[in-house]
Amino acid sequence: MMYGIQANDFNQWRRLARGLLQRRISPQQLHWESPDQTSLLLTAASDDYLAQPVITDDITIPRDFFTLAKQVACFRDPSRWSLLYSLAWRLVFQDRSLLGNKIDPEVARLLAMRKAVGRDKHKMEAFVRFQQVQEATADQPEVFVAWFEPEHLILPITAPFFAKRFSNMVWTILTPDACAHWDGQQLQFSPGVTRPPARDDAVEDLWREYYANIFNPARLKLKAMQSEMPKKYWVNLPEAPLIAELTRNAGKHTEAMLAKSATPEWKKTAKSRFIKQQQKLLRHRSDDVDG
Amino acid sequence: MKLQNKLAILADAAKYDASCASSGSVKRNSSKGKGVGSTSGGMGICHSYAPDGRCISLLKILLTNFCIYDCSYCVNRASSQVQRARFTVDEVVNLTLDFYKRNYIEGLFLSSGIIQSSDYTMEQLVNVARSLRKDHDFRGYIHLKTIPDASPELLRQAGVYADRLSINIELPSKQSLKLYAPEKDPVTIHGSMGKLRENIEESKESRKRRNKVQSAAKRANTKPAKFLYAPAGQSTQMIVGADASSDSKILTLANHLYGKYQMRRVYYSAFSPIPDATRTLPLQAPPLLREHRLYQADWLLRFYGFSIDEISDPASEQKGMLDLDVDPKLAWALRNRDLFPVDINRAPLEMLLRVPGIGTIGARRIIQSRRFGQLRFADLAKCGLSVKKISAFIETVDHSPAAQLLESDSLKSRFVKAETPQLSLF
Repeated sequence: MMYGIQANDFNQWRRLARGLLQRRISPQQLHWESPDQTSLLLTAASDDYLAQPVITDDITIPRDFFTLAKQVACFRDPSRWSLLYSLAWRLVFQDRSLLGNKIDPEVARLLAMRKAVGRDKHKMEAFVRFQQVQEATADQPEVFVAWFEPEHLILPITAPFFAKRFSNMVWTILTPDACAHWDGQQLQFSPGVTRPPARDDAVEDLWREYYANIFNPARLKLKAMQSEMPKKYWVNLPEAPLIAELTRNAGKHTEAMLAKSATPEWKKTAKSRFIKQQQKLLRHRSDDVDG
Repeated sequence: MKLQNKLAILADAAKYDASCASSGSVKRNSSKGKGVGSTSGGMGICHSYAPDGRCISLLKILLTNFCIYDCSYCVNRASSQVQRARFTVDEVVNLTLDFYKRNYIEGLFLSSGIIQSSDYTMEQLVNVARSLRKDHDFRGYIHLKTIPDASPELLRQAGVYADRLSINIELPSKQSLKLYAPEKDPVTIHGSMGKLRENIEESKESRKRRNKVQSAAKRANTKPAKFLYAPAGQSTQMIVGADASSDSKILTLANHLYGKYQMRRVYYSAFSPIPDATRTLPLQAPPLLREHRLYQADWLLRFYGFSIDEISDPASEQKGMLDLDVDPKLAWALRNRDLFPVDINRAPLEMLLRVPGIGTIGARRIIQSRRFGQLRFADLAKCGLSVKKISAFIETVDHSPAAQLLESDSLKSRFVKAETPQLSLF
């Protein structure tokens, strides 16, 4: 018998998986779907499996697996649910230590998905850029908004990071999949939106000034930069429009710097008796010790 | 002067410090607080990358680039004609908070030229950190550059507010320091590093004690006081290529600093051409590859169980310089071919770590996976290893390298690309 099962999120998948494992319904009997795709091959409605008798009431799955599964559930690919179920099945009925076997093809796929989700989450924590939309007043905190396009469905697992970091600000993160809102007390989610119109934030000019000046043109290494900060993120980074020009001028800058011959001592230093005196003191302080 | 102009000058002045790490502190966040900020307790976050490939994690600036010291490698030395500026304490505090709230940075890395006196300068730095922590309840990362001549009381205060402290050792020998940084004194530098270590250890002890008695004390409501001091420890930086010191000399000193002062990191910074340079400096910058090889060697010392003699020999043909053509682990393997091939299915962790192409993660994966059965050559790619690199040095059930390959003179050339990628300036 084939069953079509639909899962929307991790908690729902977890509940369904428990019921299915209890009834020993094997991975081969299941067709997992995400809400965004409907299959024409459905052989049975979603909860038909409930008619099957419970064979094992007490299902125990290693905790490690759930930690992993929670992250993999954010991977943007409908095949994640069937992979998770297949691994859960094998952990329960075949080999409890399966996850240690990094070269098992299914474990390897699971770990690759976890890695992709983990990287995406890390990059979101790094590259979200808030803009101030309202200054603080006597009784109102500042309000910030950001737009971001994560590769995977990571907003629910990433928003708590921002809630802990910016607990005393009011902020919203908009993404195409969902939006997160923090009012200083509580995290709430709402449906996704399209890219909002661009806004200005005066602090962005300062940030660009910093970015341009912390760059060392004598050490241009564009590839290293792009491997860590791929172009797909640039659209949301206020500093990114500077990259092309900084890069173009790097060689010129450095050449000009090297070509310039040494200049005489800065007048102000040369004239300062205080500086000369301090330098003399410092230069000779260890003379006694050294002999 | 406008704030934006000051920022331009004082960021430009700070860029020759290699460190921008925001890692290794305690875990904290801003819930139940009044301000913003969190630290992960482990890895930091790089919020951007400059076109030089360097991570931008912290707002790295100088409080001022006026300086009475005249270190020849430094763009801010007293005699340089570079434009000068000075931030007020509040300007730095507000910049840090404004950047932090927009998620541009993990925190602040503040350094300064020395003005008036060491204590005066250090006090200004401490004031910035204190204001961030006390006035604004800032819980992000703070790295303070420490002035080695500052009084022990100020060093003590600095670590109460900062996550990390650092004192740059700058040059690997006393003679070089005298020549290029005549106002700096190695004795004071080492003395202050020792002071920092004492404080950091006292803090660690107090936290340990507190955790131990926590459950009993919770009931009695009398927790012993916690002394939190630079929880991310101390680091230092050495300039490479400004003087004639060999890699062997540099690594020996680094090794000593790791041991004696429990440094969390020693940074190596290839001497970079600076505007308005003095004539005492070499005209040519060292290849960036040299800096890269030093970091690789540093890693081998700290995480791979190598000893300093195994990596570099001052009496060698290269006069104590690392081979630029191949990485230091591969260079070691090529000198010690009799220890290979290593049996992937039997070798202990220590030996796996010595195989070129196997890193700490790969070695752990091998050990975990081989419990499930004999590993075949094709399985190694699944452990995330570079098969091309390791094939000459390992054996599995279905693979062993041709004996003549390990003995062949051309083994090294397999790893050196036709055109050696000399990372040059342009």
